[in-house]
Amino acid sequence: MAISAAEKLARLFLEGNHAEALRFIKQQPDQNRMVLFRDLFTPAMYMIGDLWENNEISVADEHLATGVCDFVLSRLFQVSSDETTRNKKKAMFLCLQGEQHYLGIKMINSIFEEKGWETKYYGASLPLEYALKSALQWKPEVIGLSVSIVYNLPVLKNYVRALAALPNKPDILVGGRLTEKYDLEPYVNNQGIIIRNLQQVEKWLDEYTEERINAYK
Amino acid sequence: MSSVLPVPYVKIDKHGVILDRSSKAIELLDLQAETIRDCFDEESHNKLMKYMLPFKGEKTFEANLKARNQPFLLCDISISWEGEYAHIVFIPIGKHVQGLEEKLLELRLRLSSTDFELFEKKEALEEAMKRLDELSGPFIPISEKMAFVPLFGDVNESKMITVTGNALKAAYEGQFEEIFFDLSATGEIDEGGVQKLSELFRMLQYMNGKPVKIIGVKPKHARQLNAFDVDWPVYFETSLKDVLIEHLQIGKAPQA
Repeated sequence: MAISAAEKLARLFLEGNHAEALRFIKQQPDQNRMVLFRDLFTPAMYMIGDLWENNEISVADEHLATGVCDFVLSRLFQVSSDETTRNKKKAMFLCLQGEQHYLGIKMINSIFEEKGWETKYYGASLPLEYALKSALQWKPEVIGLSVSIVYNLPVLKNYVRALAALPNKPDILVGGRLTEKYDLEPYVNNQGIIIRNLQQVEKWLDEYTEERINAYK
Repeated sequence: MSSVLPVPYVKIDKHGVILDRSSKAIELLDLQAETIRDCFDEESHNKLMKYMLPFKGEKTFEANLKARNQPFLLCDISISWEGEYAHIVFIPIGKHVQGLEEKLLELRLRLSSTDFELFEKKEALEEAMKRLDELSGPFIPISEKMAFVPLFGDVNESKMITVTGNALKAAYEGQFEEIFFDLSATGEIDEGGVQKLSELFRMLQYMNGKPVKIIGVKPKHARQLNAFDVDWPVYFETSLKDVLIEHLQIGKAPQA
């Protein structure tokens, strides 16, 4: 039986074969980040989660696969440092304190970069006080939060409330695995926008850009 | 009896209700846990359910427990069924994985500080250096029986490893009676270089049955080659010119 491309990628991650994984991604006919993330990276990592649930791999294997995936993402989608950063819209991304599932938000960060945003990516587990301090100084228009663990939901409420109240009134985006399973609205409390998947981010981004253009007309 | 077991253990019925628990299990688990489901993190429930129908033998799987003072505790769970009842043992494995997690975190930090443009340049440079090494010790067949290997530049271990690979391959493919190594264009020779050079000469001697010959030795090289206690399996000749004259005369001899 032929295996899907996502499954092939999942196997390469589990083998720790970063060189082959890089080559495999570069060979894909559609090099659009969104397509790669949606059709390859995300399903590959979900498959790895399923393998754990089926007792076929251990947490240690999962960690290795995560590390390799992280490396491949960094290697393929690094922003060039000499790009001018003037007049760019700014967005920062972080996982709530205690959250270690950072690959999703790393991909979101990458989508924003591709669309010409200047971003700050804080990765896993950023305490609220640091997030606030950074946002207060840097004044991003958008702050993206990721939550994957039910236990962290009460914390989400604090993050959203505190960050939405910043003087420059940033838009708060809330994403992560839980958004598909639970209704997070009670935790977001009308102060943030719930993003369920990559397509929704793209849609939101396009609308955001359109609104800005209209506002200037 | 079960309460004195040295590991966290529970006995459940087929509905998952906990009937008995060892004192270690009491220490580990949430006091309010009445069923086996209560003991597990929600994300592990699906996994747990796969083992809740009686089966033969015992099975082990990884899952996250809801421990008394930790919301997640990664454990190896072993379970076996005895009629209507199941015996379950929890062995926390968080500690082993913790080391791994710390390593991963280090890598992640390293990754975020890596400039990949530089990284790629470095890789390209390493490739070029290797190519340079290959070109620094070309194996040149002068005649069917004679080969000539000039060593260019400084001789170090990595260059000699590259040169050795090529030289052995070429010497194997040809039928050379005499192989000359020329040091005329050689700069410094460091200790690793001397070591690898002598290894190469020895290997070529085994393959050819005859020692290789070295020409073009400068006074500096003589000191460097002699500095390390190596028993050189070679003959020394003065220069390529002398060698060629000698060989050409031998070559002419039968005609005369």
